[in-house]
Amino acid sequence: MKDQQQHQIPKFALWILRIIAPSHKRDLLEGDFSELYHEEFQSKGQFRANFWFWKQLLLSFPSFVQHSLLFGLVLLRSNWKMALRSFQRQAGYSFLNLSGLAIGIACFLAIMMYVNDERSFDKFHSDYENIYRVLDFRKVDGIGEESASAPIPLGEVLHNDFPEQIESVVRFFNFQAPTLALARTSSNGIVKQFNEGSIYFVDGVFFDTFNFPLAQGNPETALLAPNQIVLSSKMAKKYFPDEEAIGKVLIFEDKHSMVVTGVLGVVPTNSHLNFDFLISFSTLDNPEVLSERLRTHWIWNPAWTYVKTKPSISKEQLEAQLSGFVQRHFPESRKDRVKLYLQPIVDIHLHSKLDYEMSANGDAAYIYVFSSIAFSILLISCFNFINLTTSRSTKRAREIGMRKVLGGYRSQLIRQFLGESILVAFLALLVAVPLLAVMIPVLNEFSGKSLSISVLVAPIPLVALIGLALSIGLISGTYPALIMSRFKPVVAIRGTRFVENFKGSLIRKILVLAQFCLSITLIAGTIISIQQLDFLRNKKLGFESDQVVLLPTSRSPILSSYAAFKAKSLDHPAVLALSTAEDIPGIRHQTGGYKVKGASSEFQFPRLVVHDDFANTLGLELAAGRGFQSTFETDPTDAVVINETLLKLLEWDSPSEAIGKSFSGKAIIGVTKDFHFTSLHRPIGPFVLERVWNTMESLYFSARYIAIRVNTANIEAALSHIENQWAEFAPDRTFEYLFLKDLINDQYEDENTMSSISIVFTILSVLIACIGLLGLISSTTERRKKEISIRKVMGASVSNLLILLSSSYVKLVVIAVLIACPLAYVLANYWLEYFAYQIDITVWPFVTSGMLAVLIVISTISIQTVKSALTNPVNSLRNE
Amino acid sequence: MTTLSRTEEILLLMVCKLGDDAYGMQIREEVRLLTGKLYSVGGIYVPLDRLVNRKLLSQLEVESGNDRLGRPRRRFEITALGLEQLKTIRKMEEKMWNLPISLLEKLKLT
Repeated sequence: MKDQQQHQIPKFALWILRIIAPSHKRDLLEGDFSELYHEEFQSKGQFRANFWFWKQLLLSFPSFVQHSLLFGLVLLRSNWKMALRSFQRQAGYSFLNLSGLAIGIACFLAIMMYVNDERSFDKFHSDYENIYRVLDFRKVDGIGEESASAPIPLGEVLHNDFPEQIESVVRFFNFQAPTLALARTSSNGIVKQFNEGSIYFVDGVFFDTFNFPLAQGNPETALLAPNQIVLSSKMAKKYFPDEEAIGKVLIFEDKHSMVVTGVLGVVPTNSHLNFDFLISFSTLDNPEVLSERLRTHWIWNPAWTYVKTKPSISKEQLEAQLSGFVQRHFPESRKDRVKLYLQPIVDIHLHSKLDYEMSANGDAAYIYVFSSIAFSILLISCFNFINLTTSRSTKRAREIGMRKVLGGYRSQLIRQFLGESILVAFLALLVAVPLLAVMIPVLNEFSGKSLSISVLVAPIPLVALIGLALSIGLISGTYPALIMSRFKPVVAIRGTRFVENFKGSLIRKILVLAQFCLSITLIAGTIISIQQLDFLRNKKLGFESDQVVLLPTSRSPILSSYAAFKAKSLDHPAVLALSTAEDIPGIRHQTGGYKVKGASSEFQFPRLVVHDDFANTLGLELAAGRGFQSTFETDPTDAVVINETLLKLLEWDSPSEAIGKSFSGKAIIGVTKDFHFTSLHRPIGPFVLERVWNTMESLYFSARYIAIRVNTANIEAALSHIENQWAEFAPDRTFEYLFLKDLINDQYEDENTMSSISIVFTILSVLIACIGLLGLISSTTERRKKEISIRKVMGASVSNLLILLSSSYVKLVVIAVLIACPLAYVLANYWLEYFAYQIDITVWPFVTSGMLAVLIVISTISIQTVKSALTNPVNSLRNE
Repeated sequence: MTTLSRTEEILLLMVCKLGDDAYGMQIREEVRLLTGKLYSVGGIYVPLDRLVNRKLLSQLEVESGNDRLGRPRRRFEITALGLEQLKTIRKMEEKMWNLPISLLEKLKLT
């Protein structure tokens, strides 16, 4: 009757169950488990049944040990005493053990706090699950823009169209300007004037929608009426150092008076919305602030639009109706390509890399990288603990033998040792907390966060900490406890030559191997990430960013006398060329709709609107034709410059062939060689340059930056000359400049942070592994003290002994290198795919990290081995 | 005198309901059907043992067949003390819920 046979739990699993189940319930549980296992097997198959078994075992574990732990540790005071005594007796080793574990725990906690903070972004809003950002994607054939912001009127109209679904809409708007001018005239006539980087116009329901705290002012009305402004507490101090800010007046762009109606309280740092000033959206109704045409424009999409839906409405429900909305309201020319999406606010920080983000976001990939580093470090330190404890176990053989002879059960011994390792884990946790307090400021320095150790003092983190220490104690204590409790009393008590069994040392070797695999993987990964970063910083971008200075000029009066400013600035020999740009070249761009011959609909291509001499200013290389020049009067209306990628897309064979051809109603006057107009995360796509129209409105709208090429050798003089010109033409505005090179490097800040953090933690992980190795080697040399002495007496040299003692470890590290390199290669490749432009992975990172590991191991080992090889053999042979 | 906790009340009632079938795993399944909470295989015995210690339940080992590797089962039975406690708590609950209908309707508790 074969098929009637019971499906039995695998022998090994049953054995584990027998070990961990409390003795008085052992039979019962075995029965229960096998009965249910059988049922599970029949209904779901072997794999699921096994999975079920291990899951249940894990879940039952707390109930198994709650008695043992309580009674094993608390009630048997003698165990405490023994634990403390063995601590004292082996002070050096205990110190190594404890410090390794403590550093490991501190690293783990530090990284986890970072990760936790990253994951907590925007969750402080009470209705965060119902808040979405409206995304405005405009793509034809996959080319175009994925905008995080939408047209200005969209928010209002959306609310009107879906009053049943939407509770409130908040728009953020800043003219897409990097800075805006704000000033204050105090009572004694002193003017304070600044260019402020984070001013936003927001709708009146701002404080209903988001949970930003208002320290002073009424949240209902603070942003309702026109010309009202709310300040952050920092800005309130900056503009009104000694007085109440409420009710005072700030001047926006020289002429618009804004009344301060609120001061923000402590704003949570884990928000993707960062602002210093909020101005009521109704202020924009004044045509002097924003022209009627732009305010009702459905193509220009500069407003970050957030909707809060009614609780019963799901994202999909509302999203499904948005295509109808597009058809109803968008202009005819855009209806075919606009797709609106809703993005949950909590996804923005980690999962959003769109065009026109409010500020650079974090990245979920780094959360995974950091988490795996954290777990690797914890694992390395647990392995340390296991190795150190087992290698030292012979020291306690007599104690174990004695206990057994006096009638101690094995289970009691297991409990005792488990209790001890849990004790050590808790001590390590206590040491780890001050270490963490040291680490957190360093981490903050690198990451720009403001983490604080005080968040750990709350019920949930405290329980988690205790759980962490418990599980570390159990995970790293189980194996040593099983090994040590197995000693045969006769052998143990006799205390003679405890010949180490092969299996024990094998497991120890495997653990050392695993530690070094992890460390080497981390080292190699770090080296590769440094190389990639270096590559990003130094890659030729196709233009010369080093020499370019940008002046933010959005809505600046300087533009009204642009021609004169340009002419005067170029008077200085160190000022080489000057132009304007619609956005920061090399980082961001706008897009435009273009007709392509043969295609029925328009394409949406990346574009910059620029002024004369743009190619010269940036040092763009032209493959054919020319750039925009003031001598050609038809340039503003009739000319475009395209890049080589677009040339290929349009299927012209050579650049010169394209010159003079018509493109979307304009003539192509030049073809630039491909240059990186966005970050190196993205490949070069088609790109169009257009000339600003010769109208003041066009200039105001499109010249967000004046780009100036200066001679770097004489940069001080050039800048002061430009500043003088600025003061002459725009005396009311603060002069401000940015180096393009810095802005471009800032794009890789995420990668920078990741690389610096991983360098620190890689070093720490190697340190922990070394601490373990040091302990291990010292116990081996001690055990082999007599052997070494005899060899020495027989004439072995110090170097002979060194090789003897360290060869096995060096072998291990070599094997570790062989295992770790492919692993690191695969992981690094995975990371590099994230960039459109990557380094080729060479052998060097692996060779370097391997050599480094071997070097570290040899020097660690030498500390111990040299010491024991140099000791006088008489000392260790004298007493038998 | 301490009254039973809700968990204890549920467990005692389930033991009564199962009668001769009141074995650990069966109780676990009944609790799941009632409350949706699934105890782990080992975990179910923790509250049961506590009830046994408080003499609200008694237990006996029952021989079993091949399907349990010949391991015994443990059957639970309610004691007189346990029944008394259930009675007390039932009375208390009835009193607790003895509210005017109008109030219940107002609170939408009917």
